[in-house]
Amino acid sequence: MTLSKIIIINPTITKAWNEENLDVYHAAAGPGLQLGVVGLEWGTASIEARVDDALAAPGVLQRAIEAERDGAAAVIINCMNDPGLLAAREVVAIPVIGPMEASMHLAAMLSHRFSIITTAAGDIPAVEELAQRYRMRQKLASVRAIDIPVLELLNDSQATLEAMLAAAQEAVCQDGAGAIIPGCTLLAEITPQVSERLCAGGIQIPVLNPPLVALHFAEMLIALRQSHSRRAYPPPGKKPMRWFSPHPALDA
Amino acid sequence: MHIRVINPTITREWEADTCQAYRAVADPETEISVVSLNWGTASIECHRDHALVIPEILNKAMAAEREGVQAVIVDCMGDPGVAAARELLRIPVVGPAEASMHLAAMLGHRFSVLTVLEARIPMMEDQVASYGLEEKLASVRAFDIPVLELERDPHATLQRVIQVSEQAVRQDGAQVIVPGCTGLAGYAGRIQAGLAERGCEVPVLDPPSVAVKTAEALVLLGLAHSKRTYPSPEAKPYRWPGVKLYGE
Repeated sequence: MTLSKIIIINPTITKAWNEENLDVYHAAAGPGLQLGVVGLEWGTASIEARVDDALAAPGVLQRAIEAERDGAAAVIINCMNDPGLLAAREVVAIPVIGPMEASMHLAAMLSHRFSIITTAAGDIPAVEELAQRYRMRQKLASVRAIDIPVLELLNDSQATLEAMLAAAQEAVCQDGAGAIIPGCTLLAEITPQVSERLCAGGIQIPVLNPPLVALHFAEMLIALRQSHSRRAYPPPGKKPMRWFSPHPALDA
Repeated sequence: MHIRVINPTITREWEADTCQAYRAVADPETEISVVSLNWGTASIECHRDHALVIPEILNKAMAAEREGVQAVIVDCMGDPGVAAARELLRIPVVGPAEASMHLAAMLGHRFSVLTVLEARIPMMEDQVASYGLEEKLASVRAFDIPVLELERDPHATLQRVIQVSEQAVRQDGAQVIVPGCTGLAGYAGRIQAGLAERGCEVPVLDPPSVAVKTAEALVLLGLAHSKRTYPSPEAKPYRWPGVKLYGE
């Protein structure tokens, strides 16, 4: 059986996350898939602010082009800000999946409205802007924050879980959410516990695991032999470019 | 896993082709079974048809869940009965139109839907809006062949659909095409190729294929429709032949 390769881009310089990312995806990957993770050489340690997105995007482009050249069938950008997503789709023909976009669409199919629970309160406007970009504002009940920085999320898993749960309950009971999307891929591993605790409290709603949602959309597009419309993401024309280190976008 | 596809018409002759359409990209381990309706209409094109097929769709959906099936797909681009079925069931109920439109929305700036008849355009536009996707819709166009005549001259059908798709791309700004009738199952590849030959390279989705992969993904992710959005209905007196509405 020919294996389809999916490359997961960790859009940060935190190499320690590469192994963890791979574990999350491997647990759910079907037998016909081969997975690889790659981090960035230039960028920031975590993605929270628009500045982080901006500094991650060139590296995301680089890794997407390299993945395509290495025969990958699809690329997933492992971050709920979907940094560099639209730009990456211009420079490669293979599918590029953003877990935020994918999760919004799946949540929209499962509920009347969904809420996104993000890390810092300061991120809320940027998350709403993403919903606007994807034309999903109507399906968004609210964005709430647990106010734990990304780099501290795994320090005290129990505290993170309780904070997620409290925010989810408020989203359901006060904002009318019918589904929950964790707003950070590092929150993926606690989604089953959030779901179980909500269920135990009488709230039976989908709590999405964004990396796995992204994986399933990648697999779906590979099975359908489809990718993004070239009309939507036309390959950019050649022009003079300069970069401070080798970058495959300059070779195009 | 086992996925049940409901052919929401009384036209049993479609069952074999329907099964083949859903098996096309399904995982080899996925079992697909097809059932048709005892009560309803021969095809679905209008609100009257929806009204007459939905009760029996609900009956078939409940039967599927009782039999231990893991997901239900209703094989019609009107997604008839899907919302009501989601109230009665705990397993996922997938509508191929909703699934295809969401995927189309992820693949391009705007998509167009091709429906059967001119008179059906408002219905389809309303359906897109019901999914919150109207800002991603370029247009709904009609290829003017009733469902029951699609297979009379498949070559003519294909050429007509390619022609209308090209209009949607060049005139309406569509960047993805969603065939709006599952009677066109299996045509997507040829429509896409025909468009490419005319210089219109756009993805043309095959809704049964999108629906089956969406259903598989939901089962593997352990997700189903929100019981906040689709609460189980309260029991009350009812009368309908051969149905146990509250699982009594």
